[in-house]
Amino acid sequence: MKFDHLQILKSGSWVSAFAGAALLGASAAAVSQDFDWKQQNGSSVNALLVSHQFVEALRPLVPEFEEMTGITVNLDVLAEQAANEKLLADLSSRAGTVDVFMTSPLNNWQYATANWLEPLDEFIDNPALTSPDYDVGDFFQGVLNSNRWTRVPMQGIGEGPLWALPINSESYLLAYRPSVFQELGLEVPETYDELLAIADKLDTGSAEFGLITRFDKFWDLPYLTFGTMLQSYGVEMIDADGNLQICSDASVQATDDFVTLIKTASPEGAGAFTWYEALQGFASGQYALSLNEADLFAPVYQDPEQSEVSDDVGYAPTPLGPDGTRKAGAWIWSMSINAASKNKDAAWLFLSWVTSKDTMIAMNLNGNMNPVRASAWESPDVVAMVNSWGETPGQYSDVTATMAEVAAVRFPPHPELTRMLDRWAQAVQEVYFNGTDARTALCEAQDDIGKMFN
Amino acid sequence: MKTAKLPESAGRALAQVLFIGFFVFPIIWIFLMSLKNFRDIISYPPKFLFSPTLQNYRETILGAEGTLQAGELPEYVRFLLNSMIISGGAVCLAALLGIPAAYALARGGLPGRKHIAFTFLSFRFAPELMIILPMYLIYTQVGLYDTYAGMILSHQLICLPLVIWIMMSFFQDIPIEIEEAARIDGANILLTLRAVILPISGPGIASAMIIAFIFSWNNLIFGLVLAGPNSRPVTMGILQAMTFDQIKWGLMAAAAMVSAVPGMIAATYLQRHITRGLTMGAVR
Amino acid sequence: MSARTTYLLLFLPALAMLALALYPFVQGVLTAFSDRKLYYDSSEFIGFRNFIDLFADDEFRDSIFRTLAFTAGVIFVQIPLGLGIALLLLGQSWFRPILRSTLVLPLLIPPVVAGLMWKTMMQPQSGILNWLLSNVGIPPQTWLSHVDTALISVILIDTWVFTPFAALILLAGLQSIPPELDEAARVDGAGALLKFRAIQLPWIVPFIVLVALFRVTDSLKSFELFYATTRGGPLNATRTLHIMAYEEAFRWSSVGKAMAAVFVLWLMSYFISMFLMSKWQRRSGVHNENG
Repeated sequence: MKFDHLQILKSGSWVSAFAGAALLGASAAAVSQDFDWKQQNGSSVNALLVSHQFVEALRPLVPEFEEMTGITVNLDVLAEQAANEKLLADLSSRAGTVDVFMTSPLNNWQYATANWLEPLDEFIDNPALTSPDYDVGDFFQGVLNSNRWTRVPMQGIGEGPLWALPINSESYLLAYRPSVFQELGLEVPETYDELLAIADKLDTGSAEFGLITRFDKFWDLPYLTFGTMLQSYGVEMIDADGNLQICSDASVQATDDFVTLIKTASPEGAGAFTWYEALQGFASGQYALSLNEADLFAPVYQDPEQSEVSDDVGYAPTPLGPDGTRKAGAWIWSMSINAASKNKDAAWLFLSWVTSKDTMIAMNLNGNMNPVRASAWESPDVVAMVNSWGETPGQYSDVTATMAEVAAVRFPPHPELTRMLDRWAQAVQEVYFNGTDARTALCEAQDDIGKMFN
Repeated sequence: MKTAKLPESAGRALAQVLFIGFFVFPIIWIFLMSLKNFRDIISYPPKFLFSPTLQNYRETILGAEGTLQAGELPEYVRFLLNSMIISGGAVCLAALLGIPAAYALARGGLPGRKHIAFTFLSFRFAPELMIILPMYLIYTQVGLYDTYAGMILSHQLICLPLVIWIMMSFFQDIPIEIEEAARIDGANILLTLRAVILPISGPGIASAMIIAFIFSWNNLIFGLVLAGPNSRPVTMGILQAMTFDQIKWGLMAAAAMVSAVPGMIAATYLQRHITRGLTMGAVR
Repeated sequence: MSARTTYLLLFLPALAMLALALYPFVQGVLTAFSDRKLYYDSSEFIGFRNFIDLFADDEFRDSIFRTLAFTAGVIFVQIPLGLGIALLLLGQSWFRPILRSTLVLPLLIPPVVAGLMWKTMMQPQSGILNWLLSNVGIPPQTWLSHVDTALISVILIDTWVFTPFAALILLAGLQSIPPELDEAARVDGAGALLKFRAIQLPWIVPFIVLVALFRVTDSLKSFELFYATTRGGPLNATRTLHIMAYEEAFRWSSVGKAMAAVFVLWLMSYFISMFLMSKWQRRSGVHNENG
């Protein structure tokens, strides 16, 4: 069970190396007017989307697309859970009602296994269907390639067919209240050890409680937020030799430290916090620190209409693990085409327009943070908008750039991964609620998870 | 009431206060929430005094600024209309089918009538989860997916057992002599039902219809899976306030308040029938 | 009424129900006996394997217990409360219509939205409930966020949402008491308590059973409130059968197992309602003699 990591680099030499080898980088010179956007005139596309800043940024631009192509786009926007359920009903029945939809690598490992996804390479490679200025090389290649998979469980991520195109990526960071840290004479922690050392002091100042982070019992815990801590402790679900690491010494250590942090610095009830409580709690000004939460929460924190802390928020990279390493989880929103769709060409025109440079830049300005294309990230308007965020100018940008270098999907591609990670999260909850010994809980989870591979 | 002893009426008054406190306070709180911006909503201690804003209502009813295209109904208004068509249609259909059926079950003297009645009820036992995926498959194949007809039909699973069972209970309470009188006069069964039974079962019919309407209006799962952009009901509209990173409480509260209005009107209207049914009962 | 007319009146509703529910239901039952995963095309008939696996699983048995505990809590709180409210709202006076309209209010908020709203109100740190409690000197409660209090909190929310349903039906039942009977009680000078025991209670027993039937079957399969508030957590404190089946099917694509769990749920509903029905039959028999 060999498993290759996939770095989700946004900058650095790794990206440029890939960009050089990009499929269509060279054809960017072709004249875009030659491309026939009207070829699917009169058809319609149903897009099932998750309610997200991305969609709000996209919505006002859709009429342009409809006018340019003559294609009618029906946006069906639902809350994340609801969208998932609806999508499963449609995909599993092969009704083909939904043509394109929002998804992510984790979900796609299931959908691709089921043959529900249309591979996108043929569309990209077909000049009759893809505008010459599309430029696949402009995507951050790590982010793009996280949507490739050979469909062999446990391996081949980053290889094989492209199942989706990325539209937004998310990583994790610390958000803190500068005033509280100043008042208490504390430094923003750079390591988990430092954080543990100050954990009991965080609520002694004007912040009512110390820290907040999501702690519900589902896969986002080990995959994203607590996952970021785990990975910095050197824990990955599977090591290079293919052995499960869920109850390794480092994992037990990380779990114990995490539960200690929550018990010391979070109020009672923290064991049921979802990301909704995490965002709302920090924005309400009741907490001194938000641990390893999504960087995409920043627009809410910064908005005086929505937040009590808009003038009192700083950002820092997630803490370093015991060995001084920093790694982080990543969530990559992507869009796929339903293999059962009856309008695949029109769906592709829509998808390729959504993920084109111009649309991406326009969307970033409309509030779709964290671009997945280099050109959008470097767009001066985007830079200017983000620059004011944080305790000092450019703090937010610097932090997200730091995090981008260490953010990756470090999990084995497998259709049962959601069940496995839900089980893992349950073990962490057992330690918190029942006081179960971390090693016992984690090793039981590891046993159960081992059986799910078959 | 006037003759009631003092402790008794004091107890009643206290019970009424508790009743109102428990059932009304959350509604008031949701209403206040609908007038706040996000910052006021999440602030602690909770704010009872704040500068109210109608922004949530504006955004709920008219949609976020700049998203409304000319000549198009705002999304939420369409959801509301969809729900009125679906729930109104579903309740009418359920009454049309269910009241005669309930009458037949109450008075038909069928040997296995209890079992038939029970079978009708047992359709409610099936958790929606059990039937929703196969239903989606059928709906997309026969073209009922995302249509009003399909939604009205699927809501029969909610409304019909309710109407049949509630009405059956009421019909059984009507003294049989009344009908026999009518029957002797030569009225056929539907005429008896219409002219004799229905007028005196006013409270029952009104309650059954209010309840069926409300359950249909509040249903989530059929609207989620079997409806699409053309027929999506208002519950799904309210849930649009749930985005991936936050719940827009103000919008959700405003949407819920607006969504409650039709049910309120229906209930008030039918309440009048309840009273009328009462008086008629008294006259008889 | 002739048998022919009776069958005629029953034909269409029966047809509608069958058309809607029969195929999906049979399909669901068949799936329960297969190893179907949504993401694999092929699936095999595996007999009772899913059921055997489920019953061997402690967590499954716990979730059955939780489901029953929830249902029992709902019934024992909501029926007495609903009856009390119905009695409170009975009779004519200027403010009764207002109270009655008030009663409808919680029903007009969709349960899933009510669940979300209550969740914020119950939020231990920022919720209004703990704030109100603190004002009268009661220490903060953990509500939904702790394993010991989560299930009770969901019952409380359910009580807010659905007691009005019980009260409405019971109120209509009380209102259908023939005025002669009321009159008789008044002439006899019966006090409220006596009147309740001698006239009102016997009359509405069938309505109580009716409410119990609906509340029991709906509580066994209750989903939306859990989905909106705890999604089965914290830990597994509110993981009822329906939530468990939902996770199997929609989180993990394991529809075979999900349908098996749901089928068990259906059987539970069936037999419990059958039991209640037998009560209803007996009581309404008595009732008809009265009428």
